[in-house]
Amino acid sequence: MNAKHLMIILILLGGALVTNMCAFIVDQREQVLVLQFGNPKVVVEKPGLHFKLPWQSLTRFENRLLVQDAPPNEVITMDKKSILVDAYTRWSIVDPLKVYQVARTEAGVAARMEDMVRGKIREVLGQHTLAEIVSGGEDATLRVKLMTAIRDKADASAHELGVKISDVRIKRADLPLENSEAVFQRMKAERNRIAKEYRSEGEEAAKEIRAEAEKTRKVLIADAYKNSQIIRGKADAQSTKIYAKAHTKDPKFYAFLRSLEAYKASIGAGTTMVISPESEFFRFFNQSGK
Amino acid sequence: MPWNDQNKPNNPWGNGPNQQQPDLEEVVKRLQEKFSKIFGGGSGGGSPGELGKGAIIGGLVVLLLLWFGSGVYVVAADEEAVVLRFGQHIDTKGPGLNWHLPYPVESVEKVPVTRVQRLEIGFRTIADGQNRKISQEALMLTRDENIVEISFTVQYKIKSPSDYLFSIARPTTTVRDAAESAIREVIGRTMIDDVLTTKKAEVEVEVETLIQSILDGYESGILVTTVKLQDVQPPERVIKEFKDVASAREDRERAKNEAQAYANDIIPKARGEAKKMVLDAQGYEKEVIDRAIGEASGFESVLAAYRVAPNVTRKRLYLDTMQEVLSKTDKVIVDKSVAERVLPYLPLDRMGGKVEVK
Repeated sequence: MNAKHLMIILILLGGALVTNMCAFIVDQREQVLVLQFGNPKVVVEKPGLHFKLPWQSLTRFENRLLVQDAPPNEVITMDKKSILVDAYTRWSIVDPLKVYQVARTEAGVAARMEDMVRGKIREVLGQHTLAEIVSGGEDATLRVKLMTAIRDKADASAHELGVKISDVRIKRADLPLENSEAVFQRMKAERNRIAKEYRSEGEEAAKEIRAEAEKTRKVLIADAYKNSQIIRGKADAQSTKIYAKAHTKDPKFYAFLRSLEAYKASIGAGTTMVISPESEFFRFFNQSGK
Repeated sequence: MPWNDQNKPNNPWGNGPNQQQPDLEEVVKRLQEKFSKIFGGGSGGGSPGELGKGAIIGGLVVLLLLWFGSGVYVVAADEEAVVLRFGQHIDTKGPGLNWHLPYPVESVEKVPVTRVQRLEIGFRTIADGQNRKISQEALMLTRDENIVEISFTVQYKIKSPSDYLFSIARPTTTVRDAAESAIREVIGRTMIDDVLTTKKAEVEVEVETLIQSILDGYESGILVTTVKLQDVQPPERVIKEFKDVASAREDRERAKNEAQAYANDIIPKARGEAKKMVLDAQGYEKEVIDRAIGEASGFESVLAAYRVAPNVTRKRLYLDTMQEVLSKTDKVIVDKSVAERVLPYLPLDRMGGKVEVK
């Protein structure tokens, strides 16, 4: 009985062992290279349960889009300036066999690809000036074009490594330190200029508004003065006409009456009059009752 | 004890049953007792072989049940579950209680699909309401080659669990990289004054669109829901100058307002003055004309009376006037023939006033 049990257990164990050695699972996220004594035999890309010979071994590779974020890379631009470029690469393994032959592992091929991409970045950006890379120069979409150019060049070379490069994007293209200093200085100068402009504009507008107001005031007053003088003149003319019309009826009497009035008004207290007794007033002074 | 040996086949079946070891032992013990009764053996009695046989069968049944039971799983309300059979994606399940074929045939990966995830770029929240700036991420160049400091957040969720799991490695890094690249691209083609003032909303939309198109290019299965600019300002080094521009702008407005206030002050006053001048003139007009009319008609009345007896009236008027005039003045009556000789010697100045020679 015991021996029989032992047999069953051994068979089960043996079966499990063989299964373990022959069957393998390929995950959706990976692709598998089957090796026989170190020689690549076949690439399995289809996910699911697969079988191999017990003495064959497996090397697994990623099947997803991978990230390669290299440290910032110094690039010399066409105008011989240096710029720090921080770019990342999105890539995937398309040919595990080639990857295995070239670099054995994913990390190995990633390192090689990184070097290659860095070279392409230098090559493409080296054909442009600092200003163009940083802000696109005349063409606001230049940055996108540069990234596409790097990607295409890198992807063309990537086939040798068994990988595909889907995207190379510049995260940062920073100015070197001494250059940012210049930028800050320029920004300051520019702001100062704008501030001055605003203040001068304010002064200009204020002066204009004040002058306009003064002018309006002068016009109003002048206009009113003109009108009032016209009214006064007309009034004087009319009153003169009215007087004349009445006085012409007896000019001599008017002169007499007006003179008397004038005497009354002009000769007042404190006046000393030297009068001859022969004057009209004293006509009866010396001839009582004659 | 054979038990130790017979436990061995458990191991390839993963951790599930092993974790339940205490329960298992209890169950096995109970089963052992039952089997002992069935096969007539008392507890502790019977041959070890018979006991072993019953126990093995019972144990296998239990293990099988447990193995199948290990396929039960719960998908939470904010999750979706991706089912893999031998590593191959075969199904996606919604929230609820589900069952999959047990390990190693099928496995399940749960993905939080409705949960909105948030990334901070240019800053990190270190405590409630407290942020730490990350200049390296925040500083960027504008189209007109100014440097601007921008921090923003990206919110995203998973729109396709299978793409999210199987198309890209390191999804968070992917979103962060795309966001950093996108904001620099957008800011790189925008003027600093626009970034700082009017175009924030446009920048947000553009960045969001760009991140989404980058992520779609990777078939990442990620949906960007919101891009929100937190803080957009000039770098610390030049912030003073930027503030001065703002205050200069205010100065300009203030100068205008002050001038306008001055204008608003003097113009109505001038208008009042002008009206006064015209009204004064109109008053004068009325005054002189009325006086003329009055005086003229007075004269005409006197004239009419005078014409009745001209000589007498003349005399009377003359004498009345002379009386009135002379009654108020000092008088020196000198004969005309004498006057010519005397007059120069009269102390007229001491007598004061005017001298009239008649």
